[in-house]
Amino acid sequence: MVLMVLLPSLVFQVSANQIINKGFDVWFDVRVDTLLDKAMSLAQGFYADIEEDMELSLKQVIESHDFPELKPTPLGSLVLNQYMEKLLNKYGWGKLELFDASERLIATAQKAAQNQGLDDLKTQPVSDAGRLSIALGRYTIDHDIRDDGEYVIGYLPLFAQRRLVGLFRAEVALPAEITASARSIEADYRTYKELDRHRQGIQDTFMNTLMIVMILIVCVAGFFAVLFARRLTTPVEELATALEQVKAGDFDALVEVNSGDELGSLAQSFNNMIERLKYNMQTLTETQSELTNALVNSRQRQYVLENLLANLHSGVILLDASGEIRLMNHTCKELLMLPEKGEQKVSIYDFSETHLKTMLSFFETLQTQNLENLQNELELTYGLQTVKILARGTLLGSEEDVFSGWLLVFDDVTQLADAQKHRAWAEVAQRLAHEIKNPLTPIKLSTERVKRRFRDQVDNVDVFDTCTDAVINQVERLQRLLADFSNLATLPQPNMETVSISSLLQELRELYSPYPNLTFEGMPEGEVFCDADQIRQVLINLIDNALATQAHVRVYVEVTDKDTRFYVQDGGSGIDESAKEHIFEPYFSTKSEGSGLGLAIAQRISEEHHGQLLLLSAAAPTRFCMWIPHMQASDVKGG
Amino acid sequence: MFKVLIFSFIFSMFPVAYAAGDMVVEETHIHIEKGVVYCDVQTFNQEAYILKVIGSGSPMTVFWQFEVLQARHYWLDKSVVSIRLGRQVIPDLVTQRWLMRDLSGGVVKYTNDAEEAMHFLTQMQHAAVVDVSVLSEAMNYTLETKLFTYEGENEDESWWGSITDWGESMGSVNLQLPLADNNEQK
Repeated sequence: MVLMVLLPSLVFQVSANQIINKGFDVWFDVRVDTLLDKAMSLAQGFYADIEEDMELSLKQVIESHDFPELKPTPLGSLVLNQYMEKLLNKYGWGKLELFDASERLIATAQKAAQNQGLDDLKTQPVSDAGRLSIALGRYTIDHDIRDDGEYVIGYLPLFAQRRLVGLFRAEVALPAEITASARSIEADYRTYKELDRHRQGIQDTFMNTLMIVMILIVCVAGFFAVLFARRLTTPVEELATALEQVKAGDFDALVEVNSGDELGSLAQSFNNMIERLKYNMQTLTETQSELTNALVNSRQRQYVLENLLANLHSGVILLDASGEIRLMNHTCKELLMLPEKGEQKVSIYDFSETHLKTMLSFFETLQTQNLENLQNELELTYGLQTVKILARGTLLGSEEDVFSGWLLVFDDVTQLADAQKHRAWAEVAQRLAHEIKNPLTPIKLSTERVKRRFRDQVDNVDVFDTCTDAVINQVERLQRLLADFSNLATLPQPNMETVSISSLLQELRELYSPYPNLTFEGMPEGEVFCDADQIRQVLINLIDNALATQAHVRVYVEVTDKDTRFYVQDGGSGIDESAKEHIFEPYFSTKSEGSGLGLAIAQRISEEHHGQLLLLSAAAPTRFCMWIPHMQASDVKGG
Repeated sequence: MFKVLIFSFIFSMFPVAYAAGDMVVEETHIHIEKGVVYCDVQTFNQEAYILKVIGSGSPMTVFWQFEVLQARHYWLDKSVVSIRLGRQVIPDLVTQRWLMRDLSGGVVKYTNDAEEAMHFLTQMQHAAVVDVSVLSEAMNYTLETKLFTYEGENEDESWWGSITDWGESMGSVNLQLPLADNNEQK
């Protein structure tokens, strides 16, 4: 803006200076000077001519033949008057006066003029030029400026015998028009010369004045330009400031609407926009707050649900309509024995492992038959473990709902099933013991009595002995059977203690030392937390069964990080495939003399120790494994 | 010395150019005659300018200012007397005469010689300055002479003129009264 004001001003100032310089050059042109000089010379020439005429006239008077004889005569003398009139007429003077030596007027000759008054007859005193004329003794010319005009005056002294006797004074009136013109020329000449003399000063004054005026104009124009610019820019600055405040989040930054022009309209539009923006921001904030609260609630619910599912002892899988897994808790992974590491299960159809086929089949039944609810008991066998699972499936939602799929819940009912089975067998055993045990003793005693009383009376003693012995043996077998049933039903709680594995095996080695086909391989160091009597009973049962095959029997122990595993292996012919599934069921035996409760009791003891008895290999060589987890006394008390 | 330092400091504030100015060539003489101190003074560097002014028809007025100052050590010099004598020349170009007027005495005289009119302004002869009775023999005095020149028939009487017109110094002359008969010419 400063440049916008200063640049035109500088250009104007320089141009004005040039114009002033040029104007002065024109004004004080040499031709004007010459013209004025010539005019002045003309005026001076006119006056000089008049004076020369006067001078010449006086000179002629002096040189005339009758002037030396002229003597002063008394006032009113005819001769003097005639002579003065003669001179007046001859030289064209307007007035001729004669003074005596004392400068007193003696005679006067004057031409009559129009409008002449008494004042015109007044006599002017002798001037310095007249006295000079007397002093010098010759004529002098003087110039007198009076109110009625200008006059050329000539003084001529009269001497008689070198003595001043009188003084002539002749005067000629100059033409008024010419003197006025001459004086005008003089005034103009003087004025011009004054200006020429002060030319530089005047020029400087012009330039300085112009410069001062220009500076004032620039200042005033700049002031108003700044005012106008501020008037224009202030609303824009306010808008920019308000915009910055809005940018910083302050929606109360409204601008004042001071005018009705475009800027005022812009400010009004800005305020309207800010108000709408503020309203939208408030709405947005409220919505965000609500969404945040909802999200927090949702997260809280999700957190509760996840914690609930994580701490739930039931396995839960949430599947969508396409069978993809939306949710699966950790318990489910444990129940289904999914590997911790490996491919992540994304869909139910990814359950391709062998032990999960029953579970997949359960889901397919639920899906294909479009059942709303389905409950089934599944048995999953993974390695040495067999788990009984109660699977429940529920159809969620429908096609119109936001979500549709299935919820699968799995519960480990292995222990429950075993407990139910054990309880059932215990009841059977108690009933059998109650119903059978009581009559067995009288039967046995009666048979022995019959044998003692009537043995001598029978014809065929051999047949009689055979029969009575058979009854007694069968009764005894039934009594043993009832004892086993009783043991199964009333198996005591294990008395858990820390037992050295080597000492346990050493006892068994000593017990079975007579059997050469039985070998104990290895004597691992370590301890097992168990009821030594019950574990010894299980091992004896397994070893007896193995020895019954008459083959070579191996007993060895494997201690892992988690458990202790007792293996009993025999080289017998193996177990039939049909008997394999029922081998741990009570009252199932492949031996004619067996009660079928040995393995069931052994299984029961293993489970009481939180372990398991497994048939690892039914075919030859037959191998059983009893594994017992490493536990401490605190674990047993705690749970 | 103290006064010199003070006024040196004060006058150092004024433009140096003014103090330097053009070289003023002048002659100033005083003499005591019959108990009156007279001064003869003449300036030379104004002659061309004045001749040019009156030769071009402009009236010229000059004032000669004579001031007798009593010297003081610690303050401004005391003005004992100050007189101002004016002269004026009014040209009449058409008749080529110059009217010479003594403004102080009222004497009027015509001359046909421009240089005579010029000298009438640039010279002041036998100007009576002060009566010696006013002065003390024990004191030191200084006569300072200034020339004020104006174009026109009147001096510049405007208020700014009285401020800005300090005149042109014609120099200063020591005025020491003789201890003996002071009627002798100095």
